[in-house]
Amino acid sequence: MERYYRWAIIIFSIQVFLLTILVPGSWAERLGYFYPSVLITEILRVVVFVLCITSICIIRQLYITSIKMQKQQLELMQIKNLKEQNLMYRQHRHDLYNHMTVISGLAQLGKLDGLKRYLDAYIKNYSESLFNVDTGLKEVDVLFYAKISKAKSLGIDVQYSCQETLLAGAEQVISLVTILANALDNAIEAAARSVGKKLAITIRGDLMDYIFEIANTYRPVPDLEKKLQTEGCYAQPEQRRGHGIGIMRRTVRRLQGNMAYDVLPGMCRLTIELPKIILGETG
Amino acid sequence: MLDIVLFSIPEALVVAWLANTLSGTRLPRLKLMFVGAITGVISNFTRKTTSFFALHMIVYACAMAVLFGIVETANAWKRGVSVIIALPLYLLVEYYNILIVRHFVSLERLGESLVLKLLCFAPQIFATLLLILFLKRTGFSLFLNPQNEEV
Repeated sequence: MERYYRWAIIIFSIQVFLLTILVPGSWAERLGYFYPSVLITEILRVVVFVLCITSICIIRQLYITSIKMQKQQLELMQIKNLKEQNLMYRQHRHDLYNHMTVISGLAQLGKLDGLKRYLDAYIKNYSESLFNVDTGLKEVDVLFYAKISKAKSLGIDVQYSCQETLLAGAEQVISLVTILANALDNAIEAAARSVGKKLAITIRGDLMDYIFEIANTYRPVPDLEKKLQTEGCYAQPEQRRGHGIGIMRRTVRRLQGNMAYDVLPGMCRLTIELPKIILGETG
Repeated sequence: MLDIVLFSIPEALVVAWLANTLSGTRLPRLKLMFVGAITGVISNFTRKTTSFFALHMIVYACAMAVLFGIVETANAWKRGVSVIIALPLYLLVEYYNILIVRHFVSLERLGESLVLKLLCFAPQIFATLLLILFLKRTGFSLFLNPQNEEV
């Protein structure tokens, strides 16, 4: 892959060099500093022409490489999400073994009331952890599943609602996941520190845009609204954190969308609007 | 001899410095001066023996790239690319310098007075030095340092 970049750089530089010496060269010859040479000029023209032809192949290879890189990036993201999912399944399996041990112990001791109470609590807990995410995009589903599971494991009450099926091109999916991952990370971190511990995620749409709403409870921070405009929402100055919002803003801007924070008493709501036509581009 | 010391070597030195800055690598000053001095001598020689501008410039670029390769073998292609980008930059600075200078002084008179020639030559050297300073201040280079290339 690097080979093509290197060749592209070399060919481009040589072309710049040859073209530049052709321009001041002819001027220097006109002024009489150098003798005009038809042969050398013709050779240079042929060399520049050959380099232009070679550039076509290099540009094509660079384009193919960029597509491959895009796919690779997507696959890496999928692998990362699969790893997270796998970790969650392993945790569930481990939990299941522990629960079975307790259930078996209670049954052997004949404590049927205790066993019943334990099973009720376990079933309630298990049904809460089971939820279905279907946004229309596999990558976003896995992301939401992982983040919602993480939020639930932190004791956050999560409300999730998807009213619109998402459609996006391969390149835009990466940008979308970047935006949502940062937004969810910030919201989960803030909600986990708050008193109410609530998180609400809504995906809806209008004629033009997909609208993502992420609302969360937060611990009161001085000048929160100002901070949300400039740095990380929940950033601690000494920790030099809070790049997530900057990344989100840049990515949203690149997708020609809008994002805005509404700070309400006890609740912070992030609204992201992304144009359907831009997200749907297949690049 | 005076031509080499006053014009060819300073010119080659700033081009070498510009190429070094563009490559993003930091060559020791002594090595840089060696490259500049030898290229200056070669340039003066080719200027007198070849009367074709394009040939003169190609020899100039090749000589400087080879000399950079001799003093520092690592990242030879990066230095080569930096040389062939630095040279057109310098040429264009020179081109605009002469365009401005000819409004004030007749170019035919430059051969008559060494001081006048030096005064007309100095702005292009200063302009290139300013460009180098700007590149250094902004930390701009064509290539990233190896430790940052993962970015």
